[in-house]
Amino acid sequence: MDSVFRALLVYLVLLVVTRAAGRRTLAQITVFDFVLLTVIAETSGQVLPGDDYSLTGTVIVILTLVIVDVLLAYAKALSPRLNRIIDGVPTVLIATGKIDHDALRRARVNLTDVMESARDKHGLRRLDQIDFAVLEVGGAISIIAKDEKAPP
Amino acid sequence: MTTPATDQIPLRPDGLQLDEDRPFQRKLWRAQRLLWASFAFVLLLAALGLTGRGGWLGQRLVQIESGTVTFPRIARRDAPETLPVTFTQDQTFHELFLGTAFLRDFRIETVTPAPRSQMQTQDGVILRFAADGPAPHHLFLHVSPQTAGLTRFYLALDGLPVSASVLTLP
Repeated sequence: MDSVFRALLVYLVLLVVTRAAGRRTLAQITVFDFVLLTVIAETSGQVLPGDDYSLTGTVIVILTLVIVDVLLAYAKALSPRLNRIIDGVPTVLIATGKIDHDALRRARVNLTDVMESARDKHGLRRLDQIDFAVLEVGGAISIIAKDEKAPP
Repeated sequence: MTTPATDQIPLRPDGLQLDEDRPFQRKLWRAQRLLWASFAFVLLLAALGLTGRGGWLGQRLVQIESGTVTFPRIARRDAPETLPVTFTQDQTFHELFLGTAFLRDFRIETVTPAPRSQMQTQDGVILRFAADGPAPHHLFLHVSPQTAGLTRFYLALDGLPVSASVLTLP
């Protein structure tokens, strides 16, 4: 029973910490972010079995984590509010070419990140070519380019 | 049954079909910053020694006529702790009594130096150490807490009791 509570608590702590870290931190992984994630995973992994390194204990911990994750997925599907709390909502960073600086600051995104996404996905050269930029729930920045043929 | 796409996701005045909900997003941002503050608070408590394993306020020295014992105020389950014991009276042997509650809630890893003998009593165990030369005489109990929660116990140094409590975090 100790293993189950331990796994539940670790799952909850990791959920809160990753949620608090924000989308940007975990979505665009740099080498350092990857190292940090590995350290977090290793540290959490050490505490999960406690002093019980038996096969049974390990199986119980794994099953607990998987079942909790499945239950949470069902709960999110049933409750859109819970889904929004856990996964967040998309954030419009640029709308009709106008930059929302407050959203950029609060989401810890800068225009360099937006332009990186614009170059990468749409081959855009300038900021004024962007019609909409949206920070998606998964942490990626979606870009909708302005229609160059349309009148300004 | 099918429904038009616009019924599922709201259409913004600027033509973007997106369920953004900025007021809710603002609440999330606020909650996120509160969480950061709470993480920083936990780290502050850790720096002060209030989450166990050392720190500024992490230990408490109890002094009695026959010696001193240093206890952790807060310990962590299964994490090693060292309890320094000092006998301050000139004697050729010293006795350290460990009560049953202490034996139940703390696993004794090692005692340095090793006791010359040990004797079981009704409510604990007495460790007897040979000593030579003038006091103080030091020994170290290396223990690891086994039970989460508040543990109250008592020890005795050369027959004089010391009661203490340690909060063990899970």
